[in-house]
Amino acid sequence: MSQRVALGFHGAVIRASNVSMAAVLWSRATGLPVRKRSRGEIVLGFGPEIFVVIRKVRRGEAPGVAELHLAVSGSSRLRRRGKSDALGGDSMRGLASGVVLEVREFRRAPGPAWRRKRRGGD
Amino acid sequence: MSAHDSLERRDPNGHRQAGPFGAVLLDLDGCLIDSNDAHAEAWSTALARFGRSVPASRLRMQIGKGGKELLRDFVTPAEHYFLGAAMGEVETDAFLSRFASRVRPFPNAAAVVREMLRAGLKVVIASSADRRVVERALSLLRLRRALTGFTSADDVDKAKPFEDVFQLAIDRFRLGSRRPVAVGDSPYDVAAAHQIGVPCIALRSGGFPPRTLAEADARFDDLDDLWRNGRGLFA
Repeated sequence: MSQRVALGFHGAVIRASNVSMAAVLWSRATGLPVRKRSRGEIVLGFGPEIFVVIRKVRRGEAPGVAELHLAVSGSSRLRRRGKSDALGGDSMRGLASGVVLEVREFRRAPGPAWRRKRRGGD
Repeated sequence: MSAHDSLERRDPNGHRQAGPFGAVLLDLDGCLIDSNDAHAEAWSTALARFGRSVPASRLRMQIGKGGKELLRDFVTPAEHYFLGAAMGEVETDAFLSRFASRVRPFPNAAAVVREMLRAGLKVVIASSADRRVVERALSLLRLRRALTGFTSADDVDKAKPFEDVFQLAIDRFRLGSRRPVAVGDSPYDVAAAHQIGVPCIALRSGGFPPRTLAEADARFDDLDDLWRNGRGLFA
């Protein structure tokens, strides 16, 4: 494979005024459980494969989509491979139409913060 | 002990063609090297790194499938789609770094391959394993230069139990006119070969229960047994 191929969007970061309320709505819509809850941020998902981060909107920011994460294959054979990240990928970030676009090729196991919490093989 | 009453080649239209066979599509793991347990351990290790606790004993009977096929029973569709390739990379790394050193060739297996080649047979290693794993094994066996060739999972989109690995070996090394026979240790070898009308001889050396190899066209204990007791099957 000599070029990057998009597999699909696998993650999003959403800015919201009411983080808890937004997390409930997004969890209901996607079926993703709360994975991590910290001050001003709730992470939904099982692992790095599909996730939604709800983040408290900051002064001067508008609520809405802040980041989209796109999974690709084929990057490893390109000159620009990106840098290793905590999700287990090589990734590159850029701004596209006001949204941060993070392009990632999964290549290794995720770091502890992103490792799947539910145990078992089913 | 051997059993090869039903051994015959079928063309794509299902017509029977008797041996002898002039080419061998030979699986690697479980046929030439005693590596199936090590791969099960490596997969268990790899899945644990993704937060999945799957004992090697549950993975053992899936060894022989390509990585993405093996994973289907143990991860969600989303994990399979987005992380399947990475899980395969981690398994290969774990195998090579932690488990490969304990893998040993089966007694006399490499010698049998050399005898097959001396007898004029074409012998292609048709494996679903990662290319690095195949190359390491062939170095261990000192067979790399002697073989007609080899294929690996890297050469095809769909590994065993799909037929792609065997079909590629037949096409790449022009074996179609030589009456090829597949030799493998798992039901996935049998399924892959039969999809393209190639008979499959199963070897029990891979540790699969006999009932799982019932669809094979013949069964032998190992490669040495095949060559000693099934020599007449080959040209």
